[in-house]
Amino acid sequence: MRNRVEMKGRKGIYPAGDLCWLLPGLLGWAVFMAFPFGKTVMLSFRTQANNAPMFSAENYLRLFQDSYYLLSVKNTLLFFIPAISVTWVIGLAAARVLLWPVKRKNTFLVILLVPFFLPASSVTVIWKLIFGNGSVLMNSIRPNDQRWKYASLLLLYLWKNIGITATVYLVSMHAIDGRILDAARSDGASEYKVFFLIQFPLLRKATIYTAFFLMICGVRFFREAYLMFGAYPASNLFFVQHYMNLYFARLDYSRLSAAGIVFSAGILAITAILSDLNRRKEGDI
Amino acid sequence: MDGAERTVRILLKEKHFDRFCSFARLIFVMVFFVTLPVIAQAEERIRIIVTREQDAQNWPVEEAFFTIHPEAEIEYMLYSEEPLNARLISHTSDADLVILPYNVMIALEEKGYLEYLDVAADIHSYPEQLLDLSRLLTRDGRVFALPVSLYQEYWLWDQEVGDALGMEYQEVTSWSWKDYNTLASSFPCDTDQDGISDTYLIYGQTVAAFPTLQNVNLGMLFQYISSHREFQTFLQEHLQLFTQIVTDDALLDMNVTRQVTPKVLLHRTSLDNPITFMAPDALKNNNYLLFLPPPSLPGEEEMATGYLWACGVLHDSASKELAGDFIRAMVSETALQFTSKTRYDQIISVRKPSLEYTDSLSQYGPEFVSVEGFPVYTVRPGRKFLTSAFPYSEEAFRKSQSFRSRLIVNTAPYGRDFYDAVYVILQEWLDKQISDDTLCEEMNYLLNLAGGA
Repeated sequence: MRNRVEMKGRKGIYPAGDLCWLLPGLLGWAVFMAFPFGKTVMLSFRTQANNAPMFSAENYLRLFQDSYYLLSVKNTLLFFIPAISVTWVIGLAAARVLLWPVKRKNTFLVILLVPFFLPASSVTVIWKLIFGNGSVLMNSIRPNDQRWKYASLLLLYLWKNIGITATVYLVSMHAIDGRILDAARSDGASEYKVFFLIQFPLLRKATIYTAFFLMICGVRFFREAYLMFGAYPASNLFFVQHYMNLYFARLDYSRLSAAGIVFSAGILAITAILSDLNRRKEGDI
Repeated sequence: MDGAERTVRILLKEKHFDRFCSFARLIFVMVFFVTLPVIAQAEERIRIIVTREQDAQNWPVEEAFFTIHPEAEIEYMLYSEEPLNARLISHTSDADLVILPYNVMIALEEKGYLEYLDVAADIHSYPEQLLDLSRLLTRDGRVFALPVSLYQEYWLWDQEVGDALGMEYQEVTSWSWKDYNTLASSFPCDTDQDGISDTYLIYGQTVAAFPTLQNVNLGMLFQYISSHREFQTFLQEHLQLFTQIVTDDALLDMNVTRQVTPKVLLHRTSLDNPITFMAPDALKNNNYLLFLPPPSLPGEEEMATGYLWACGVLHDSASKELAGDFIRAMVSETALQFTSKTRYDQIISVRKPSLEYTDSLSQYGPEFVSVEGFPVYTVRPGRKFLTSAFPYSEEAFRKSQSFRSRLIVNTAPYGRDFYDAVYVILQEWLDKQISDDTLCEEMNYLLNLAGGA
């Protein structure tokens, strides 16, 4: 606090003499983050075709006119919004259950966490054995449309991420001062009210953190989707990463860059909204 | 100066000397490593990117190249698709030439990764000595690659079985599936007398193990759809025929085919060159297999799908002159008069080769060794090959090449994943898990996606 007050009169955040300590980090950021990103932005404004103009917005225009890109965006949202929401709810419920004085809850937590640490390749092998064409389950229930593939992938996402979500919530719940909850209970508040009116608002930071985390898991989940259904999945499972992968295979790096930039902008926008939400709530408190 | 002081001075001098020696060593090492690439570059070497091991086996062209550059080396670098794309995109492929499937070559040409051959090899028009595939390998009259090998779909008619059944082979250059059905209906139902109807002679139990569907019919579908673009239209017009083809009792049980090799009248193959099934001159009196093109759909003039591998010069090549010489070697007299007995798919000349290398693959087969994590195979001059006369007649050669020059290749970057996705959908449709409408929707989606809609 004292440092902040002292800094107020200065132009920068850090004392000028200490800037040299930032240099290695800044250099790393410039080389490994800013330069590749800048190059990708540049490439997204170039077309690779012979005799094409140096800079144009053609890639972006074509991207938004491409029905497959729009389909991939729609599918990504239609998959990950329910997937993240359901993981959130079940993870929170599982954490709440684990707060109860139940026997062997650590064992249960470990069982929930194991899928998260399993490598994608082995998980998809198991999933294919259960839900793949020709499996006993599929042969017995004989699903009659493509939605079953969506359900099996959604189930895989939940299976992998519920454990880690529950762990984050559980840790956060333990951090809440028990005296606040006891005071509420002694004032006659029901368990329902204690959870929704006291515990849940206090879990705001954990909720925002899990939102970020599940979003990152969603981006990484392409590996599983790819290993399950390949580069040409059913039309309802064609995600943005499939689209980018397709253009990588076609050596169309400009279109790939444009898709990547738009995707990054989307992620940045969501991150900014969540951060802003967090800041506002902090202000309210 | 006393004795002790003198000793210290000498030691100090030695220390200086040691330091001088260390410094000199350092300078020598630095100079050595700086000049090493220059020394290495001074050697005559071309690097060729391939994605299959067999593409590193171009004996006639290599030998023709070595006649011009007797000290040169040819280095084949084996890449899989993703590292290749990454290297090309970042311009770090460090190669001079590429031998790749046609659909990849097209992508390279469109994205400006290839040098036109008028610049790289002084080839201003498609060479007359080669099978005329100019419609595939030129853009605006400029040649960007030359064919290396090609595989063609064709069907084989067993003359011996035909004679026994009293059925006559009729040579056709183009025929429809309707014609094929008419012919098939005249087949006896059980040519191999195993009690199982085998009119169509198709192997397999499921779509995934259904060679005809995988190769001929699927090729037929792609060919048709490339012009019509709508699977719905295809199904409306041909659903009955299509269903019949994929569900007919002509499907020969896979278990039967595993136990015995049935003697069948007509079956399909996608092997390299139809000439391999024609009788060499020495065996002319024996019965042999005759070939037919796969049937085409109404409105299609001919149907001869296949696969083409071509060779082009990379725009980033550091040894363009050598690369150009390799390209010129491909159309040289020395290369074209030879073929390799193990690679008839590489016969791309209009004129019949006079000699063939008879050595086995084990003698001069590509042996890749790992260099910086990538498999590399180096070819050096001085190999001695066994040769013999090319055994096929002029007529057989002409027929085969005339058939092969009608090659139609898919330009879409279809990969294994794409075919797998198509088989899964067709299998689901056959199992009645998805409706005709869903089949149409999913097929349209897949075909347009792969076709770069």
